[in-house]
Amino acid sequence: MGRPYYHTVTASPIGIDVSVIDGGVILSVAGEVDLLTADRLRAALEAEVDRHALVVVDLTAVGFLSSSGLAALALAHRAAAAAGHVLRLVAGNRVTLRPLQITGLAEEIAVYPTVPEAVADSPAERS
Amino acid sequence: MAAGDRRGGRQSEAARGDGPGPMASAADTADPLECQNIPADAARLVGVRRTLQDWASAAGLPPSTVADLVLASYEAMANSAEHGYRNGPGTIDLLATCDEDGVVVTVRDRGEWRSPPADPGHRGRGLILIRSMSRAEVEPGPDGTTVRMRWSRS
Repeated sequence: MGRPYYHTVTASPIGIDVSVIDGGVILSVAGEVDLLTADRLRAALEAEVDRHALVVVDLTAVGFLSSSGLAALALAHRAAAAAGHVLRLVAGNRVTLRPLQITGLAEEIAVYPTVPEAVADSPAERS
Repeated sequence: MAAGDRRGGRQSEAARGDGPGPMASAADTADPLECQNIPADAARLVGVRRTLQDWASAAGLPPSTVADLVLASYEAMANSAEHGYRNGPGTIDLLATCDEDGVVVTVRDRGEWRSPPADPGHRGRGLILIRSMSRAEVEPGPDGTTVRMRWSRS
């Protein structure tokens, strides 16, 4: 706290790792998803939901999730559905679960506590 | 005073990092946190969010309340940054106060209030988060919008 906050234009970088699995892809997101970083998530999701039948977005390592991040997820969910694909979320922590639940997104998009559970669930059970 | 000055007295022991730490029970006497003329852009809001998080933790609030307070306050500021100043750059004032009953965070801009669209989009979701996570009053006016959010201590 040596310097006043306003001098610090802090980046809130997010990391997005993409790993291909059988029949789909897992996007592991780490960091803070806010007004500054949500566009990166949006772009990454946009690229994947068209190409893969199953897109699992792992939010386990996300420490902050604001409405701009929720909008990116909602948009990607809609795009996936339009393409006949499935988007699933992994959110086991309060910091991500709570905004998803409050806004009702957790009822629109399937949310799982862990990646293995999200991957294992068959599309038929969810759609 | 220069734009963006942080006013409102000394930092708490916990925030300085050289005191007994956040468990110290001076909680309900925490000094107000006042940030004026914050440039309303996304990059600046990250630092303000961290400052507010440190303040709320040092004030002795339960972790779940700290999390709600940080997200709701961020949404109020993001709302100003994203929608309040469509016609040019503006600034935001933030005031956080705390007493034995609870905390109040006030976010004020001098921008133009825009009603949320019928489709929730992210504007709508921001307001839903603010209203669900706090006892909130949103006061749009000709000179800007004030969002006042309250949390009880327990």
